[in-house]
Amino acid sequence: MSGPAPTALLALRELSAFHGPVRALDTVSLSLGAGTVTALLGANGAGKTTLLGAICATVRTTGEIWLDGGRIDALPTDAIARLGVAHAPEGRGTFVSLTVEENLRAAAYAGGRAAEARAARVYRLFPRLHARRRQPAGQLSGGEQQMLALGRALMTAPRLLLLDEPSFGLAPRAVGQLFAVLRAITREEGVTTLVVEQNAALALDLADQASVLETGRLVFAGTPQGVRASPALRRAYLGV
Amino acid sequence: MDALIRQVLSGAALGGIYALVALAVVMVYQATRHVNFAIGETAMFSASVAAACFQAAAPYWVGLLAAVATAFVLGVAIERLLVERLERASALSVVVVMIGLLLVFNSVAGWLFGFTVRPFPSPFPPARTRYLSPHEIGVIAVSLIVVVALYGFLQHTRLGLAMRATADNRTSSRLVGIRAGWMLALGWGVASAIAAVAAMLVAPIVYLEPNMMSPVLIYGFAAALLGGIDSPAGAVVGGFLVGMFENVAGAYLVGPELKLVAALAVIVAVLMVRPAGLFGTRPVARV
Repeated sequence: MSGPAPTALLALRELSAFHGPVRALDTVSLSLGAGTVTALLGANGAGKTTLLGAICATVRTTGEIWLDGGRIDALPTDAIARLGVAHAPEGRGTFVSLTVEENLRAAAYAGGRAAEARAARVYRLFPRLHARRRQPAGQLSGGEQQMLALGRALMTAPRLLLLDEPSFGLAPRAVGQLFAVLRAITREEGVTTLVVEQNAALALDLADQASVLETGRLVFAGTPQGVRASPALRRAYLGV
Repeated sequence: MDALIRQVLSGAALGGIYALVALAVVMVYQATRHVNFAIGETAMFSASVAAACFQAAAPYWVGLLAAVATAFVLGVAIERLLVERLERASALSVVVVMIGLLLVFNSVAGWLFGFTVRPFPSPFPPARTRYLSPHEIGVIAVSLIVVVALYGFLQHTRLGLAMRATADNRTSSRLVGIRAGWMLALGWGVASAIAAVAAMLVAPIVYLEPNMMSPVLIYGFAAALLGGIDSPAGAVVGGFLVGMFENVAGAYLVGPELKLVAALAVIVAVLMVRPAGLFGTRPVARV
């Protein structure tokens, strides 16, 4: 990227996270510039999902988390969400007994007024969801559930979008569609995004920043080009 | 024939009361996967508060409001102060706490308001009718109104939607900014208030005393299980079925002494065939 370094929307300082007594994230420091897309790479169990959970306070942490100049590490999950942090979790976490439409409206609960307009936009991005808006989310296919998880995240008008494995379990064609939408959202609207993705090539393609976790430690923070230029990282995450 | 119709209809009136209690139980179960055994006693306690209002010459609606408000606050407080803290404890711990609360409210109500059996006013005027007394007609009407109002609230308001979302997936609801803890507490409060309405309706029939709600609670649980513990519609249908069967069995089959046994035997039989209840979707795993 050219130009001056963007100001950080999210900054992690010496962040550690724990599953019971196990330290799953070890003193990670990382900044996300406003409007940037960061791909978070790492093997299974490296702590990627834990890092997203740490930002949303769904796991126990030590260290500091700053969002737009304010500390959020002592806040509960719902308060962090109301500050504009949207998390589309692994396994999607849709409200299975609610209809597609209700899923979207529930997500706009904290945001209030603009729900109609935002829902219309989500339906524009994902016409499949519009066709199925009266069906319970539990009846959707994997790809549709993933669309709904992303659509629900967009309903909160997020400043920071956290995506956990958006391509997981999807057919290649569905992956292509989903990433086209992601590209549109991130490029055109400048939503700061942190994306965890098994498919590293796909993620690096979308991203303008890249970070790599290994067993809970941050071992690389730079650009996608930097990952591609490093023989070790290329071998480990791109397989070439 | 007239006598049978009368038995069925007056069973439906009792059934409306069971339906409300069952609905309260199901609401709490759906949201938190806990069974609120104390809900009958908080309802009785609230009706006793209403009786105290009546003793001070307050009009009926003041007593009703006082009872509903008391029950709502008790429900919210129990969730916030006790159940929430036991979120990570085993289901059995919550059962023990709930049974403890049942005894606490039973004793405190006796201590505050007395153990004597007292008459309790009905808001409906006495009159001679062919099948149902005005109170029985009123009970059926009020229970149906409460059911419809609750359905409307949950289905058609933003708050109701947030409560359903929280009941469906607590973590996800927090991730979209819903104050999940308060939604659960609100659910306990509303359920508790519904049970208080049931207590206000049953008290003129069985008279007010600390143990007034025990049989009602047993029938209410039976109705909830019969309909399906995770199905609000099932709870309502179950309530009416249990009430009508109980009354008919008491009059024609086994006599009033054994009608509770007969009703419960039928329910056990139904659950052996359909463990999830008539309208339930999953078998009960906890408690």
